Amino acid sequence: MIGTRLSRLARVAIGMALMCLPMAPLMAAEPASATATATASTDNPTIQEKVVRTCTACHHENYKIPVMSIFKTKHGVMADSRAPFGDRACMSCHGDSVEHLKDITQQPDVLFAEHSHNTPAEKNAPCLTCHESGIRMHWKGGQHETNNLACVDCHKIHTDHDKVRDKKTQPQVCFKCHKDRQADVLKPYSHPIKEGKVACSDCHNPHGTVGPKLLKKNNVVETCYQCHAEKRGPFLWEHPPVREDCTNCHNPHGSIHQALLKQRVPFLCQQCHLMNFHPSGTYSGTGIPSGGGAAQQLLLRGCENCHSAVHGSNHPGGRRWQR
Amino acid sequence: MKMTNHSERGWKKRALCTAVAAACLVPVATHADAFGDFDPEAMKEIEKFSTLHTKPYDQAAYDELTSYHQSVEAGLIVVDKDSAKFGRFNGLGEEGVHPVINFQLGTGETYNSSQTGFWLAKGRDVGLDTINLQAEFGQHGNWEAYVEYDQIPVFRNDDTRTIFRGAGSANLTLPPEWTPAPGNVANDPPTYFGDVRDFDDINTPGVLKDVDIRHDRKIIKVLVEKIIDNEWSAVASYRHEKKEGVKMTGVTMGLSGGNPRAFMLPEPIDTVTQQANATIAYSTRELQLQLAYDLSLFTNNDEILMFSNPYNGLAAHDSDSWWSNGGQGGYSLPPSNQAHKIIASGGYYITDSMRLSAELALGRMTQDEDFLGYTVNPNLVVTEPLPRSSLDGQINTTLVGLRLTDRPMSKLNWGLSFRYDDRDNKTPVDLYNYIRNDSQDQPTNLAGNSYRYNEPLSYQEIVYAADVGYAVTSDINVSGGLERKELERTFSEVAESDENTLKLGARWRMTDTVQGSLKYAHGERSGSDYDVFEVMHSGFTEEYVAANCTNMALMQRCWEYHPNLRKFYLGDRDRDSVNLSLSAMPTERLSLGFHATIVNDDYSMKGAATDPAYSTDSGYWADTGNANADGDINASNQLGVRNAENGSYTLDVAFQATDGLSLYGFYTREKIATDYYGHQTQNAQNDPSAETSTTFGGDREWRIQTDDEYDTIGLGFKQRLMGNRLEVGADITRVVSNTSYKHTIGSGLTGAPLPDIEADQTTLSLFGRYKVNKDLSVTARYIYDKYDAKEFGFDDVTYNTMNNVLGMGEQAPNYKVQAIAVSASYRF
Repeated sequence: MIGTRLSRLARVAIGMALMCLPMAPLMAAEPASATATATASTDNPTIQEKVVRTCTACHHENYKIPVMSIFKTKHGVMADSRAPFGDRACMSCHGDSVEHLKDITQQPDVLFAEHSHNTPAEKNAPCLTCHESGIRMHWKGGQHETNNLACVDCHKIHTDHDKVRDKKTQPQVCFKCHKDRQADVLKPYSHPIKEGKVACSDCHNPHGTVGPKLLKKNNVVETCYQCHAEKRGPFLWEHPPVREDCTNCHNPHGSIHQALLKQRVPFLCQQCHLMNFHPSGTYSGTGIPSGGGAAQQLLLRGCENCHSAVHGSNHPGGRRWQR
Repeated sequence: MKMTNHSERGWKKRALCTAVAAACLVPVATHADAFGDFDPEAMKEIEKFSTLHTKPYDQAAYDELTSYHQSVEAGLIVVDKDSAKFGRFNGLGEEGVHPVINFQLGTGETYNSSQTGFWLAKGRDVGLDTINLQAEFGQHGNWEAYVEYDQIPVFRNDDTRTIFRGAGSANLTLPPEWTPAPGNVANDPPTYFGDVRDFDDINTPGVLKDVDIRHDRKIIKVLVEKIIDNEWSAVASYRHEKKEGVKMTGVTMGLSGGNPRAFMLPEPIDTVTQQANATIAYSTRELQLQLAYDLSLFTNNDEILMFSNPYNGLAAHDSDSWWSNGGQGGYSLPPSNQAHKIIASGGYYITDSMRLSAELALGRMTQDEDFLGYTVNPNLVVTEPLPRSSLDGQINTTLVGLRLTDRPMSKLNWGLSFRYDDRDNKTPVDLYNYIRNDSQDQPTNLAGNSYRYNEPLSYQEIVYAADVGYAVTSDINVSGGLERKELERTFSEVAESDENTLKLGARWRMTDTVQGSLKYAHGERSGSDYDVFEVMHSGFTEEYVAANCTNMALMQRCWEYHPNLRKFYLGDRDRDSVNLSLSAMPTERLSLGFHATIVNDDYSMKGAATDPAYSTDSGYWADTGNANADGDINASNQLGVRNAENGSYTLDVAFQATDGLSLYGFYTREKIATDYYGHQTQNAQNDPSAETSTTFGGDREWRIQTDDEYDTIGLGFKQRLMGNRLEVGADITRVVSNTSYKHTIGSGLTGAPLPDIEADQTTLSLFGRYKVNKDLSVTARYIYDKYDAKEFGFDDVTYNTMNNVLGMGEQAPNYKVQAIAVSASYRF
């Protein structure tokens, strides 16, 4: 078992290495904008270096709240003129903080701690200076912004491991507020969230969207098609509620029922399919357990024992979603 | 194209919305950012202090925080039992020894270097089916690249077996031992059909073969970003996902709707989904613009699943037109398809606090795979060709999103938003004379139900919303909002509907350590007339409607869905929702929380006194003088979901007992209740008078009340000991799930109570990590996972338990698995 896996691993590793080949020569290349802002030396420190020395005089390596790991992050690169440390270093985000510099008992202009004097909007302002484009374009007016969340409520800046940006640890951050979702992913059937294979941000954009429920794509169906493109069609024989909204039948966060269904079949199907003959039949416990007399619409896959192409069929004979 | 009440679509709204969004996205002249200057006073202080910390006070501590560390973890994990459910997503579904290999490598320049190069490589679960490899490299501020390989396994069942040969391929055959002649047909006249329970051959050694019901996703992602200058950047990404494996699918042969002969078979999965994106972005502090192109290509390497008919060879089967005639069937697999989208989005600060953001996305989803024939069964007579060789399916999508938001003062914020989501299905409509289940000669009666038009559904949603928030005091915030949603659909009972929602909220800080929030929303959805006949008139031929809808004696055939049914996703609905959240920190070390979410959906009809009456003149169910303008039926006769409730309550606690010991716990109780009504009409043909009256209640009505209940508890702790050299911890979760049914039936029906569905899972995880020195540590983990489930649909239902469905032995999961892992981590 291990031998087969290692062989497969070797193939994957070779593939990855080939894709990463550009890494080596480009590591040595000079960045286009790197030299413009910063070169530091002990004798002739840059202004950014002076700010760092000033601040870390107190917020040093043994300070109770470690801050210096920011130097291992993108924010801490002085040679990048776009980064905070390529601009005004600590003051890019915390403000000039003149009063704090004069009297350390005074708070800096912008303090990101939980019990800061700053409002969430004030805390977010430095972040939005650079991060209001791309997936954060619709932050203002989004659910999290209007509920007074600050970026630092989810993101940790002074560390090289921001939990919310790691698929495996991200749910822990979201569950701090979304307690019901924490229980959802532990239900008998769920997406592989607790296994770290799917993260909340695979479906949701917490930074704000023009769509519902902070969904990453325009609507529910387009969000689901990202991983379930086989359901996209268009099909010859469409199933109306499927085309309209996957959550008509599925609860994507977790369920006791297989396939994350909201109800077990046939009871889910019968909420719409009250038609002549067997669709409108009353399916009770007669013949259960294992007597063989139970209705075929009730056991195994229920209605899907026959009508399995419920997401749509492209078979000319599949009008009843049986082909 | 056949036109019906709801098949026509307007284009004006779409054009208007697109134009407005485009206008909002016209770039506005702006100035490039200038970096802020330092405050002169701040500069003085900086000059004063900047000589203080020129080198680390504590080199070791400094290195710990600022150096790039490489780490490698290697070890073994031993799993004591096979379990598909335990290993469903974690790659540990098989008993035995599995490797534990994780690593993180990488480095970058020191923060004050003039160089900006960096690289990072990470590996998780290397050697397992859940392997994840990531590499990131580039030059900060110039360009970056990201490459990832990821595998997601999905195990479905233990001990599943099939009578078919060729599992995993698109051609399934039966073994020579398979001769399904019924041994005992006492319960079924031989001239009719044999009973699956009499299929003794299934017990013949070698007939059933093991088949793994699982599939794997293998995903490669590549992303490259180029920072062109301080304002412009470009990103290109590509994602390739290969999905391979086998799923279980139910297929039927024969024509009888309620009494078919079906079987589970292994359906192959062999698909590739490719996604690509190219984006160019412009960003300043005042204005951000972005233009992107999204491509998604889905390719299915198998078009059709061919299978031998396990019921073939039965004399009654072959001779009776209700059953199949021949030995082969074909099941269409999801067709290859494409989606393209162009997205333009932008945000602009009109004033320092007022922002307008907009998005316009124009997309197209297409599918044009060659059609399969009406049947693959060569024994059947096909007289009419297909109306076209492929669907030429196309859905044009338009999204327009606009949002204007402002925070004119720190106490006040408001916002207006508009959203237009249109899915215009341009798929051509044709008349198909379909053959059911490869089991009949093609019918020729135009007034029969084999002639059907396809119904390409279009959907449009427009949402207008206004929100306001105000800080009454520094401790109390209130908010309110109004939302109006307008929907349009084609080929649907409800062509138009709207929903108005009022939202109110408050957040308050009662003391420095206690705060809470409360939100309430009330929404009312209503719509145009619930047109029971739209689906019938759009889907069937005029000849069929004429033959079946003008004759009272045949009334039961004039509707496809019961006239008293109001489908839950279409019908009127009142929704009330409440969210309550309380949190407290009685001490610095203790935090407590309570969260509740309650949603109540009321679908019951209002205002109608009687049911609509049938008109022999028009062939329609029409409103009576007593019915309200929307044609509502008598609420007491309404079928479908009448009420649904969902309540979720969570208590959580976190306690930092000492600097080295932290504990947590949570408990969630959730209940989902649904109440719906049905009416058994399967005897209608024999008793049409009972179905044609205006009262559909009575002795064949039934009602099901379902309750899904979940109790979830989690407890855990972490403790550091021996001067932080040893860390130990434990987590335990238990989830008890239960679905119960209350089944009420009319006097004309018979039935028995439905059993509950139950699942009880307990997971215990223990871990200990001992730091041998600052770079070497040893970790031990223990996992105990116990899962007990009862599901009447699977329990004791084996291959030939059911009288007309051949199964694959799928059972509800029950397992108890233990796993022990030991690994060593080295950091350098």
